[in-house]
Amino acid sequence: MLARVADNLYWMSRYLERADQTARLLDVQVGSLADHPAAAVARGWRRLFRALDVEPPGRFDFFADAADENFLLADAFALADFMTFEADNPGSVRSLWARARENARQVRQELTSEMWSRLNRSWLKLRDTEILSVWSDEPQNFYKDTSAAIYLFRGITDNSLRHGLAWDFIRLGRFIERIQLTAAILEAHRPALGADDDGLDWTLLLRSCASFEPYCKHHTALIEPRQVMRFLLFEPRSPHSLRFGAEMLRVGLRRIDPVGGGRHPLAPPHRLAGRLRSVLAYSSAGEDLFETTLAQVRAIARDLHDQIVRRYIAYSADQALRMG
Amino acid sequence: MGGAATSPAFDRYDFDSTFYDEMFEEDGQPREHCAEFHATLSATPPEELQRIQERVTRSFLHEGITFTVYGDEQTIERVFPIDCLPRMVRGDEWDEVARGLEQRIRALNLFLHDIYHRGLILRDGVVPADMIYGSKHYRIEMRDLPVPHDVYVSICGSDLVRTHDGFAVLEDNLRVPSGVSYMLACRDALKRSMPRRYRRSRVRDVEQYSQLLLGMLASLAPPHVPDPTIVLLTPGVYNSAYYEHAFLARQMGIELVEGRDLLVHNERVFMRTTEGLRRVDVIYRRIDDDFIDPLTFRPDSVLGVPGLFHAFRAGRVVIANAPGTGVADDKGVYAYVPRMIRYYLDEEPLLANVPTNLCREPEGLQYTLDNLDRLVVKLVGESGGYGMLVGPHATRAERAEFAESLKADPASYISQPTLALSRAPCLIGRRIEPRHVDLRPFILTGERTDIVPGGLCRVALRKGSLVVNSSQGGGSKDAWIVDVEDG
Repeated sequence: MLARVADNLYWMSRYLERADQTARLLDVQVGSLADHPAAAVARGWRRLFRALDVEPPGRFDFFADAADENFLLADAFALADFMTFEADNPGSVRSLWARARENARQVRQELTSEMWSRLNRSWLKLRDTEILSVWSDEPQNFYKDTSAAIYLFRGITDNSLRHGLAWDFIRLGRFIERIQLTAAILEAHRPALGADDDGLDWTLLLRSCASFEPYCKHHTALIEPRQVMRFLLFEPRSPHSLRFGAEMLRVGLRRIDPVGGGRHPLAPPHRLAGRLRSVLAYSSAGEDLFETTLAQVRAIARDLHDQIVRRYIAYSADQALRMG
Repeated sequence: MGGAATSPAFDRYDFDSTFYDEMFEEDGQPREHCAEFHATLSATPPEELQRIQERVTRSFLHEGITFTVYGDEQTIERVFPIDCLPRMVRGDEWDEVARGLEQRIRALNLFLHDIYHRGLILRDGVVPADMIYGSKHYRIEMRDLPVPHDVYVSICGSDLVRTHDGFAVLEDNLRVPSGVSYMLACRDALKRSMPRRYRRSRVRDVEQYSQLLLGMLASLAPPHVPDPTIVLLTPGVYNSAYYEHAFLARQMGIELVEGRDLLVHNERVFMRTTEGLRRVDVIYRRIDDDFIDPLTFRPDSVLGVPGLFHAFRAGRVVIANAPGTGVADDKGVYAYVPRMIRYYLDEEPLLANVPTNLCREPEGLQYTLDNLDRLVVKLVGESGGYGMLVGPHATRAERAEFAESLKADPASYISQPTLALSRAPCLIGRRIEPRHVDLRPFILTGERTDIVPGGLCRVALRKGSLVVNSSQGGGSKDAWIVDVEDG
């Protein structure tokens, strides 16, 4: 497969995953408006921006206005607009979709017509939606629909595209992005573990990571903060846990590059994927290890992206020619 | 069967005999090869015809068969308009056309070989040397360079028009002709929307085009490469023909590459894949000469591949069409094609040119100046309607002004009569009406020449219009080459 094509599919998939995750965070945050104290809502916004690594629009000072009920709804409207539709914000849901579609358009011949048509139609709908109509209806419905459109696209991908290299790179992009974002979200919530008076509603974290129902099935609805962290880090069968993602990356890389995974020394991406998995699978899971484990996961995931790009996409020609 | 038009859809069909009608004789009787199709049409209620039209249009919509319109403010993607009634050509008539096209491409390839080698035709004064060596499309870099099978133009799309005098060539597209995907898409859409009528009409197949193209490209590879890697080089997604590039690459099962996917090392061309670099042997390029290689041609090109031309010169990669073919589809050189055929082949041209007056010749200039109100005058190096005067539509002042620039630089101009393009029945709303058409067949040349029976039939859907370009209200029709049963 052409390196440029793989690059476009990989990024298309990363942007879609990020759009899905952003929509879900907004869904949960907007939902908390109804019944959470103003201070908790303000802290929620702060965590959301920190997790997504987006600079909030300048005039918002979450510390100063934290307890001001009057500004709560107006702020939420403006912040949601900024994170959903703002064209100048590269992290807004609409910007992320636009980039995903542009990546897809560059390699349209590699997608099945069903995939393209679904992506295109969802994009056209999002493009023509404005915050006012979302807000005057039920905002949470809109965010759920946005995530559902991405789920549908994934389903179509799995069932119409040949499970060859194109499919593999799409999965690779999805799980790299998921691991990086989930780790960032967990890191934004971790400080609340120590502070008992923080009043953090840990169900919101589970919902933000699409893991509330899987958690309840596994642990019942008794929400215990450390249990929640452990579940999102180490649970092997929950599709949004870090460990699950690490396993998907390891398997995916072996499919993409069997040689790099079967030879000593292992190719850099395989080595990193193996390390990521061992950090998450064999960690003693001690409570004080959350911080170091998350730091390790984030560092490895960053390197892994770099090594994937370096080995399969932007390798130097000299290096490739030497390897013959 | 047969007889005059009976379907209400044919009510008020305009049988004006100023123009050749593709379906009807001058007396209003259907032509022999159209008789059966005409009979089924006549028996079809207008509502059913409209349903067929809707099916055909929908199939284009779903396939995403679009073209790009470049406006001042923004570019728009539009669905390519298609008319559901085929234009029909008699098999034996087509065979003659095909022989003429084959003869023509043979002469053009000999001409290109000649002007990039010894230049005999120029030395003998058959074609003016300054016209060739002074052309901006003449590539000095191609001098004395061998090309596989001495074929420069592997893919040609020639625009044919028909008048009462028969078929004539209006233009040869020898650089990167496009439109073949529309031909294939039209055929696919018609077959699906009227399978029984199609079957009964005994239409010759065009579906083998992609196979023939792939086989032809493979035949250009050096003999020591038994299993050549062939790629299609596109300028990218913003090119108006990108749909076609993607379509052909998918049909042939070859990679669709952009300049940035290729690199040249030691005069060898490689593409960057996820599994490392892979050697490329044949490039079907859909980008213009100017942009192929910034080191050799335009240094500001970002579409091309640095060093590609050197690899080509060294014989390490084949580029089709070869660089430098544009010199032979210049409007001035076009006028000399019949003379080339006589010169190289010692044969009479089987397929006529549109009568063309060369203003570089004194009698041509005089005739043009005397008849400006009846002629179309064109600037030779240009295309797309630039620097053109349409005499009958111009004001007296415009003609006078044009005459001055003509006299100042006669060698840059040619003139042609306004053509009475033939018309074919089209479904316009609920009614069938005649509209002007042309035809672009595609000629593939490697070790041998193949012409699929058919082509892109463009149609001016606006009443009375002679402009078939899709940007100006033009659409397409399927072209059916049909055989008439003997006896």
